[in-house]
Amino acid sequence: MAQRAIAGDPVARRQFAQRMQCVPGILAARNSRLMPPLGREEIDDVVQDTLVAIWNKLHAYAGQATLESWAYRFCVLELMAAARRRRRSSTEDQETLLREGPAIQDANPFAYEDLHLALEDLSAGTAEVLRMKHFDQLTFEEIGDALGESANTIKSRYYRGLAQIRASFDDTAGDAS
Amino acid sequence: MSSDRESTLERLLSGEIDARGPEGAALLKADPTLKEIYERSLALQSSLNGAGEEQRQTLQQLASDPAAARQSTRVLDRVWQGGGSDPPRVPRGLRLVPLAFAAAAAILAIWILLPEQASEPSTSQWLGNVVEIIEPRGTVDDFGTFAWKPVAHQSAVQYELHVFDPTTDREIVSQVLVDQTAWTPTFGQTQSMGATIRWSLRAVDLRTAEVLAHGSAVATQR
Repeated sequence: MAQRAIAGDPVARRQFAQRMQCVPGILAARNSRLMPPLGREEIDDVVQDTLVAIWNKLHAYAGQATLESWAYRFCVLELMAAARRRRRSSTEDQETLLREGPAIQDANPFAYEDLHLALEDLSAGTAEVLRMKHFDQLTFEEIGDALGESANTIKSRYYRGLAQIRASFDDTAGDAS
Repeated sequence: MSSDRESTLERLLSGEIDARGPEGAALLKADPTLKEIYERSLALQSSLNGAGEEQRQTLQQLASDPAAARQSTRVLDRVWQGGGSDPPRVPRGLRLVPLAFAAAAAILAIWILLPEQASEPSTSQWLGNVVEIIEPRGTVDDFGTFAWKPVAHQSAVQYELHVFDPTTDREIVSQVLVDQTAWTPTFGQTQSMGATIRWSLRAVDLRTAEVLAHGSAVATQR
């Protein structure tokens, strides 16, 4: 369906647009955890930016995860970017942050921000294995079956991915110190 | 990291070597660097599981939402009509207009449904400029094409098209087009329309959000 939508098939495009109703939903759910949440107009902008990003990257969607799972990461990244822009744009907010620490509600909505960004920096194949393992809860054998590769190859790629994320966190920590 | 250490780390993380068993404990005790990397890897796996859990919970809680579907469709339609490039943002002031427009549409619907108006409203009932509707209007074979005459304007014009069920005033389909004077609904969209529809069209200056003209028609399928 994704490939047919890219090719311009109007029925596939309708189906795709219908499936993408998850985007406003995901963003609304995650936005409700921000303190304060983005306003209606800001979140509308994020919805638009997210849908554009998804459409522009749809050619890379290989169909291993559901379209909604695949779209989720775009929602997370775009919302985090919008929240960061807001924080940067307000000196007052920054001063408040320095005084009171990060603004959080019951759970830190940015808890996995670094992780999502680090996954984006991995090669698409490696990130996919990590996501399938931890987000879709598949075994190495199941991932291998889905990708048409041996479980051992998948396992190697998985551990390589973990090492790369560890290294990227080391670099970040080094830069910060 | 040496390949030996890497291999040992993988065996520890996969559980092939029990980290709490005698062999695992000895390996970790003998190599503090391995121990540190192992512990950080466990923390990383735990974070990945947490992020996965957060994603699954969010997706499970999503309910079907017609308003969200309409919003996605509107944005994607604008992307597709722009050839895949970023769509022009809807100016913020314009976002309040649909509410006002819905109210106006409701008033118009009452007007249309008055017995003496039941056949078809004239677009001349609108104050201001009028978008001339070509089809469908009156009695038609199908709702296969929606067409209108272009509104002359020096810059890009956005046409906002809404199709309503005239008996309930429920919106069935909406579509936003830029500088186009026809729209072909999908098979599914035409199926969702009843025998009679009312549809309205509003032309807006894409840059300034100024409303340039309105049009409206009622059409019945033979």
